[in-house]
Amino acid sequence: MKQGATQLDMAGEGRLYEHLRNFWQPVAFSEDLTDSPVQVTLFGTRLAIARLDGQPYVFDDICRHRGSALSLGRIDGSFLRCAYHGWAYDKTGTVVDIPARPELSGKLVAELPVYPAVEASGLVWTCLADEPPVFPPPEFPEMHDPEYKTMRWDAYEWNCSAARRLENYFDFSHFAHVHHGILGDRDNAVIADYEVERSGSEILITAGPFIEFTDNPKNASVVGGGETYEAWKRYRVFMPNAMKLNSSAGPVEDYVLFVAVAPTSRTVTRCFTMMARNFGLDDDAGFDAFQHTILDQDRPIVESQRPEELPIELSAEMHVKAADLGTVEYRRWLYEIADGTVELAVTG
Amino acid sequence: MSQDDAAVEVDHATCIVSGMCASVAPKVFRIADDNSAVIVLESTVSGDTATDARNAVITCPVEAITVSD
Repeated sequence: MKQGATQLDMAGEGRLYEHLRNFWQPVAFSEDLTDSPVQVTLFGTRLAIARLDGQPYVFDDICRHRGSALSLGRIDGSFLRCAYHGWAYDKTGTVVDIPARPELSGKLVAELPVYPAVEASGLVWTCLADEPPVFPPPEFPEMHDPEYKTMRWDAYEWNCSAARRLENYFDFSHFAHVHHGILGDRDNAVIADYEVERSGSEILITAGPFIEFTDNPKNASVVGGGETYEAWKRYRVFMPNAMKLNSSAGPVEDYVLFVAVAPTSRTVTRCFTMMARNFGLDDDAGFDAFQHTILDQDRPIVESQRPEELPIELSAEMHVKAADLGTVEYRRWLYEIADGTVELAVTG
Repeated sequence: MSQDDAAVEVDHATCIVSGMCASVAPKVFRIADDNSAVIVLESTVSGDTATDARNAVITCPVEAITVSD
């Protein structure tokens, strides 16, 4: 390892962090955005998210009057009204009502920053850059498929960078060790060669077989195969901050995990997780417990990684031939982003 | 180049500058100071140095190195 590779706040990682502003970032589950504003911190900036006339809007979470959090306020028709002195802001961030002196309403120039917002894949996404994102928001088609049942978990934060968090999902060689007895077998830890390619704004990975165990809800439908099962996994990694995994759980059983992550700060990441499946439809409690088990196994490992951010140089960490192909490709693309390159790949 | 010598080549179009080769065979490979490329220090190797170079072939994550037989 190069000297200095464990140091924090290196220039390259800061460059990547800044360039991640140029992409859609998840800030809330769509169904959580109802009749009250929600506060979220993104890139260290406090935001107020509100649904006005059915559409999501993302504002700086600070009233221009006395600096209080607008997310503590209320939705008043088409306006977001501050809890402190009742100032009301319209969808453009313009102050339209000042209750203490109504004659000033519409006359004080108090523009509140408003950021673009879209809804996709069950989430509200925003972008803090001046220019609209080049890459589209990720896709999660199974959540709209009547043959699948979708679950979601409350958003949670881990003490790691967004890239470290997402990379964990397609870091194949950890399955056998961190998830031994569930998603892997430490006595059968060899990773077979697998395919990785860029397509549009995605990295497509098809990998397997992975030795998984059957005494858990994910593989409970596997019959006749004994205590283990050979799973195949197809990933769509939506650059730079989301992924969808279709993991086989039998001949037609499809376990789909969708994860999107957003940087609360350089070393704190907010994670949004959803899952869809076309089997075991009556076992929500089992799948909930299964998901928590896997997360509880991953968390101490990922939060222990140093530096918290991905080292911007590939040579700062070591890579295993073939086994790390997916994560190496992810890092290579991130480094291009850090250098200011945001281009769609040729679709294969 | 004697009969025991082997030629070392790096496909720079494939190389991702992971640095694995420089750690395995530091007498043969070095990473450029600006981290932009791998530099071949010894294009002809033999003996222990050739063994190190062949280990670099095995460890390169993108198979960008060749060492002739």
